Amino acid sequence: MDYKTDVVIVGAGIVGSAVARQLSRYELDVMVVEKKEDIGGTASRQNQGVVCATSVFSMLMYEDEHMMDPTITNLFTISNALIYPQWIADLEVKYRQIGAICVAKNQDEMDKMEVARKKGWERGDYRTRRVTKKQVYELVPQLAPGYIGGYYCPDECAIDVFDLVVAMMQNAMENGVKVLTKTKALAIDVDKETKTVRGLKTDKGYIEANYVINCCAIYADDLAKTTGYCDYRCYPRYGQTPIMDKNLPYAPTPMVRPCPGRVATGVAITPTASGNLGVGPSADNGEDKEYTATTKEGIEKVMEQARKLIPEMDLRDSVTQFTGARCCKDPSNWVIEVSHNIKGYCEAVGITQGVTAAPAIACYIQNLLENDGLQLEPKDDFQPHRKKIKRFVDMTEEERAEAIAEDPAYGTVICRCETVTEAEIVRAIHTPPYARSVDAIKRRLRAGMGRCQGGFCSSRIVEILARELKVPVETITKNEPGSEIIVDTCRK
Amino acid sequence: MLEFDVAVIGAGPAGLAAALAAKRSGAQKVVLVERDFRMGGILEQCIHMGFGLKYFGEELSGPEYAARFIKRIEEEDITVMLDTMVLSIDGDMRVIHAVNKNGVVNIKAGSIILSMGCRERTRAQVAVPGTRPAGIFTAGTAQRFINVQNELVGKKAVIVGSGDIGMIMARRLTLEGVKVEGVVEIMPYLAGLTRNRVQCLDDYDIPLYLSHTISDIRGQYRVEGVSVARIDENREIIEGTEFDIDCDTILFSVGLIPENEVSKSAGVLLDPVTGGPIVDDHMETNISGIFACGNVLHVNDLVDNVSIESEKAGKAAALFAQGRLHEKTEAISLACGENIRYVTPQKIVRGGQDDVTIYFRVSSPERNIRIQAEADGAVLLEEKRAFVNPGEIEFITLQKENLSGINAEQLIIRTVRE
Amino acid sequence: MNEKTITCIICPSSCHITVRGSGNSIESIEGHTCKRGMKYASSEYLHPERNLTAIVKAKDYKTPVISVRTSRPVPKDKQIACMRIIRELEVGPPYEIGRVILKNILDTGADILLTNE
Repeated sequence: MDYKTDVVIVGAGIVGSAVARQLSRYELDVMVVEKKEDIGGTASRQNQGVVCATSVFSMLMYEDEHMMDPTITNLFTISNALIYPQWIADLEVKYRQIGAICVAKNQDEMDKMEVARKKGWERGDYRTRRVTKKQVYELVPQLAPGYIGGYYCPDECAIDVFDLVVAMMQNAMENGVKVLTKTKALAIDVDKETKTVRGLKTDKGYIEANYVINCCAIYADDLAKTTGYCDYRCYPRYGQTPIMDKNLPYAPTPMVRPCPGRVATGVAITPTASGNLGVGPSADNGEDKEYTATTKEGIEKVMEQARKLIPEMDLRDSVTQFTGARCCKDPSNWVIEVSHNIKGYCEAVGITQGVTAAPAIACYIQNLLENDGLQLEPKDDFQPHRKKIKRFVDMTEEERAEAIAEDPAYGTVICRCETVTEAEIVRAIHTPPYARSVDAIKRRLRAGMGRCQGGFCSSRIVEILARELKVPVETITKNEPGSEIIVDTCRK
Repeated sequence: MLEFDVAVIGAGPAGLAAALAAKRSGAQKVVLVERDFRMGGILEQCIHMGFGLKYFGEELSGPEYAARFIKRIEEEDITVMLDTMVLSIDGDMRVIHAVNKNGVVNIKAGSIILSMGCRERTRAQVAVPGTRPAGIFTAGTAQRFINVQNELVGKKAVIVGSGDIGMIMARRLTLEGVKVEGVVEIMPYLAGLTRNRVQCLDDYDIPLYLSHTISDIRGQYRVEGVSVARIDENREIIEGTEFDIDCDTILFSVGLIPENEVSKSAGVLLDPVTGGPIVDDHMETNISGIFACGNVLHVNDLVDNVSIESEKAGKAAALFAQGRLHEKTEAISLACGENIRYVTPQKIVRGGQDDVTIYFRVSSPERNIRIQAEADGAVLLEEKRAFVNPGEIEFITLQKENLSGINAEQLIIRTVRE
Repeated sequence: MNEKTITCIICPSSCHITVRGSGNSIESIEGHTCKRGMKYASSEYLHPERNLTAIVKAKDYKTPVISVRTSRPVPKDKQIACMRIIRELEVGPPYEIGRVILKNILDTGADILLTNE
């Protein structure tokens, strides 16, 4: 099937979703193309425990310095101070302020962090402050002995990253954006004479468009090459991450990090929006963009580093371990621009802090396109609030009674660990961006993400999906095609 | 607010026996709250034989064993609430907060029995490395898919852990036409019963790899295979022993954990070793009027023992609700001596009128030993065992006459070599 | 002369019992530590039998399948053949425990019974 639209966004990760939502404010035909079965990209999906890094200080501590050009810094500052709170309020995304502390073993590390504080200040971080040894142990009583002080930023927030992605895309779709999943962008079609974008070739048909926005993260170089211009390379950085159970006695209140060494980034202990703890991630550069696996050594190393911060950390309290592939770019600077070479080509690549920057990047791109001559007429009837699925676990007893009276399926708890009801699962299947797999349900509702890891609910979720989609259970997948869960019926 | 004398949470084997015993011990109004659409709990999917020899004197399948109790429950005037999920308990008020399709259900109870059973440990708790594709199940989940939902989980399987459910699933899969390539056990000995090794593995020539571990899981979307390696006594992989097995399915049977999230909401204290509540010989927890029995307390290997133990809890809960359970007095605490991993109950109330059966597990296998119960240097009881195994629960029964003379704070259970 | 090592399952001691014999006669049994073990080893040598449990398709039942078992143990080497027959069975109401849905499967003398209701 072929399509015609004004703007195609390639990649439905956090950046693509944010751009889609921002552009849905205008009288414009916008399509999003995603090669996977669900939105959420590669990095954003696996980012289930990571904090919305609000302080420039922590950026300076952990990222290559040369990516911090002034535009980017401004993006962060604007994003956090102005855009983020509004987006979170509009979209009703779960988040909580946790604060973050970097702890130092010795004066050397304190000095290093003091340099970072100064640089942070130059870039607009006025909040990160030095704390004494006593204050460090007050903030994190569980901390191992031997730390002499640290730097603390109260503004760090834990956010449910996937909920943010779903919220942005849902809101975009409610405002008219079309999303094609399981659709692989093959090449950007460029008129050789005029060097102008004509459209996008995909494995599901041709999309005629005036603008193509490359938000492919780790695959951005592959798509960029099809325009004939690409001066960078994208590669994965694998991060192994154990996720720990809720309510552990040794769970710290703020995010806790060591002062990073010259090469290795420090493993962080991160309270998540849902009340779990994320540990890690490790950081190992690789080549294979698809294949992510944990290793015994990798997980053990992460835990060993975590125990240097909190000695009680125990892998047996972990509910899952996974390896995520973060996007790295060589050279490592962020590029958010409309192409000088190809008219109608725009890209946001090299974004290593997508969770923090996505809303700001989206607003920035919208302005870039407008400056480039794209007519952006605001929609009279833009609806900034998403219609969020009412979450049983967050309801009061009165609200629960009311919800069950309205829909008895709210009275059937399917996932016990995370208290998710059948009504929510049915809604996730029928609400954009429509959940079509067990993992898609898990990401939206956390069903199966708890300590039993779907042992109890997965067999029921498979049946609910099959029933609601009116398909045989054998076709229900964990995620991508090829990940079917049931191979056959036992008795025909 | 509904009001009952005794409220039982979970209608598995423990809950069924407890509710029945409560009713028969004089509790007027008994309610059994169950989250599934039928009673019976995990027994409904345990279609294999091996249940009831001790309790009924004949060998039954899981559903048959459950049905005998269900029939009795139905004959008694016991309220059963199916499809009803308990979310939390107010321990001081003894109020249960639950929901079902009709709305919010709050139950005020004279006493409460916790009988929620247990859940399976997962791949994460044993930290098996590799990818995370489809085709990885806990043994119990696969059992439900096949035996209840009629859905086959794969064609070629490897089973991790030699627990009973894992071995029983090896046979079940084989009979359903699935090729079972092996059972991989990290310990140097079997986790489950020898009977199951003989009848579930040996009968079908399924290899058992003791002292082996899964060093990698392969496959991006569906499982494509595993790497297996021999380990040394420190559980480190011995280099050069690694080999690959192609399979599309991995079942984890790596232990069970008592399900106590609801207990915690009531303020019930748990034993770090059993993972279940600390109880006295009336099966009463630290919260007055809240009792616990079955796998919520400690993981049993024999359902018959669960029924017997749960009847004790049911009876005590009924007496409590009637104000007839004698006041909480001082208790003797039980301690684990040589080669004892845990004991339950963990306390014995002084001045009790009954014999007390103590269940325990050993830490490592031993032959020709004696089990001793000792207080203040005096041996109260000694029993011989030809063989003890961590996979199998042991018990001893202390006569009330023995107990009445104890002045010590502590009673120690231990094994002694001949 | 045949020799077969049998792991005894009568008690947790798990004795390894060696049975020697030819055809249907036993020459010697060694390695057992009790009478029950000897009896088990001899029957396991001469005619090993197993209870067989399975599921069959069920019409108008609360789940798509219902559990069944053999009324008595069947010869070990006939299990797979029995399974082939059981797989093809389909039952309707009434669902009563113990109801015979197939008599004398493969001439083993065992019936197939429902084990749930």
